[in-house]
Amino acid sequence: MSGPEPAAGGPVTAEQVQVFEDEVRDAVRYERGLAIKCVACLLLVAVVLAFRVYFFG
Amino acid sequence: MTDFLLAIKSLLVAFVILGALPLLVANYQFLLVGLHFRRLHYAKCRAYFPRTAILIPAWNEAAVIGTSIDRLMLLDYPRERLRIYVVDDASTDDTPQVVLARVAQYPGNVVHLRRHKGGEGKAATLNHGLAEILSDGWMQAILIMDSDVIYEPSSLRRMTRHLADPEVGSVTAYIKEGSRPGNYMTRFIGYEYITAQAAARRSQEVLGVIACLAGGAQLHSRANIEAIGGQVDTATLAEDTVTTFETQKGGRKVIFEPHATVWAEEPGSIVALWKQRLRWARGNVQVTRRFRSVWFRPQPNNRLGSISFGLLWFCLLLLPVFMVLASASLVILFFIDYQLAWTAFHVLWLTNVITYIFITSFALAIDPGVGRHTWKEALIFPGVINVIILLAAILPGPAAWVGHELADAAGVGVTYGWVRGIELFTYIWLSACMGVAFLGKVAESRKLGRFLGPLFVYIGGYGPLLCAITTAAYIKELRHAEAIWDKTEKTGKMVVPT
Repeated sequence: MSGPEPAAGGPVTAEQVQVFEDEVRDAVRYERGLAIKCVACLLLVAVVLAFRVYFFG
Repeated sequence: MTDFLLAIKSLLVAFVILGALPLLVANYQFLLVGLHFRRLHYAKCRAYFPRTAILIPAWNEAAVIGTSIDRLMLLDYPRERLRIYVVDDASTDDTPQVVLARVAQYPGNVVHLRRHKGGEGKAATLNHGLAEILSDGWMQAILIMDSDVIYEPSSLRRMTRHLADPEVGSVTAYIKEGSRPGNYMTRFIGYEYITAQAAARRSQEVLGVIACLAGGAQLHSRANIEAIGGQVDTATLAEDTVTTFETQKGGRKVIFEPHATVWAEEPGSIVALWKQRLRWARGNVQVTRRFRSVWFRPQPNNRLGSISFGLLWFCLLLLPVFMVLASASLVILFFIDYQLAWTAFHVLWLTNVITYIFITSFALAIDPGVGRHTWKEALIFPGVINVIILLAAILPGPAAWVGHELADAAGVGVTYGWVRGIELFTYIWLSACMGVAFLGKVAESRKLGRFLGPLFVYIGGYGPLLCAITTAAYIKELRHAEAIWDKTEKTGKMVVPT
C-alpha cells in the first residue's frame, strides 16, 4: 500500500472559505439553541411533576 | 426466616430499582446533548477537499444505485477530486448495466468493479473495493456508503472538513429516514433515528467516544484505513462498529457531523425491520464479546473504556434483561408484600414519566423537521398501554375516574379484586409488552397481517419491539446460529428534499 500524499485537500477558493465560515456559524448557533431547548424540556418535566404533586400528592 | 424474607424483599426491590437504570442513563445521555455546543470540533476544521473515493457495495441494487450515483455527482465538491467505486457483488439483476451506463455518463468519476463470485457478505465486498482503491496513491479519503443512501449536496464537504485535523480518523453523518409518504413503520424509524443518531451521537461526542459510524456514511482518512489494516472486519455482523472501535483504540478521533445529512430508505414492515435489526443486534453482541478487554477499563488514548460509555453501551444491550428482571421482581413482591411492590413500582414509573416527557419533547425539538412528520409515533413509541399507564401515573385521579366510568358503562362493579388485578397486569406488562410487539411480527405474514401487525406494534410498542429483537439476538448468539448477511430490500421509494 502506498501512503498518503503529504499535502492533501487541494486548492480552496475564497468562496469555499466563505461558505465554510457561514456553515460553521449556523451550526454553532443551532448547537447553542439545543442547550436552550434542553433547558425548556427540563422545565416542562418540572411543571408536570409540580402539577402531579400539587393536585394528586 | 424473617431475615431471609427481608433479604429476598430487598433483592427484589433492588432489581426493580435497577430497572430504572437504563432510564436514568437515557436521561443522562439527552442532558449531554445540551452540552454538545461546548465540544464542537469546528475550531480545528477548515474548508478541505481531499481526493475522495466513494465506495459503494452493491448486490442487486438496480432499483436504487443509479439515483444514488446521480445524486453523488450533484455533490457540492470538486468533481476532479471525486471517484465513485461501485463494487458489484455478482448481481443477477440490472445492476451492472445501470452502473456501466453511469460509467459512460460520468467518465473518470465512476468505476465499476465486478466480483464474479459473490454472496460473501457486505464486508467481503467492501474489502474487494478497498484493495483496489488502496492499490494506488490517488485516494486521500474514503467514504463508505450504502447503495440506497442519498447525500445532500453539502454533506460530503461538511464531513471532509473535519479531516483537516490530522488527529481525526473518521467522520460520520446524520442519517434520516427518507421514505415518503412512508408508513407507520418508517415514521417510527424516523423518530427513532432522532434519538439514536442525532441525540445519541451528539452525547457520545461530548463523552469523547462514538459507538458506531453509520454504515451508510463513514468517511475515513487514508491514514486511518491503512492503520486498521486496509480492510474491514469480516468476522462479525457489525463491521462498521468494529471499524469505529479499532479507529478509537488506535488513538484517532471519530467525529459525528450532525449537519451533514444523508437519507436512507428503511424497512417498511415488521419482518424487514426484524431482519435488519437482528443483524445489528447480533453484531452488537459479537462486538461486546470481541472488545471484552475494553469495557470499564479507562485507557489514556481513548474513551472506549470509560464508565459513562460502558453504561450507555450495556444499558442498551441489556435493556430486555432489565425489563424482565424488574417485571418478575414486581410480580413476586406483589404476592409477598403488596404494599412494597406498589411503592417500588411508583419509583420505577416516576422515572419512566420523567424520561418519557423529557426525551420525547427534546427529541422532537432536536429535529423539528422530522418531528413534524413523526410526532404521533413519538408519542406512542412505548406502546399504547404503556402510555396509558404513564398517563395514569401523572393523573391518578382522572385515571381512576375514567376507570370507574368505563366499569359502570360495562356493568361491572369495581371491586378490590379488580383493582389488584389491574395492578398485577401493569407489573406483568412491563415485560409482556415485548411479547405482544413480537406477535406483530408473527401476525404480519398471516391472514389479516396488514391490520394485525401494526395493531400489535401500536399496543406493545415500537421500543419493546426493538427489545424483543435484542432478545432474539441473545438467543441466536447463544445457539451459535449461522451469521448470515441478510440484506435489507430497497425499492427506491425515497423522496429527498433538494
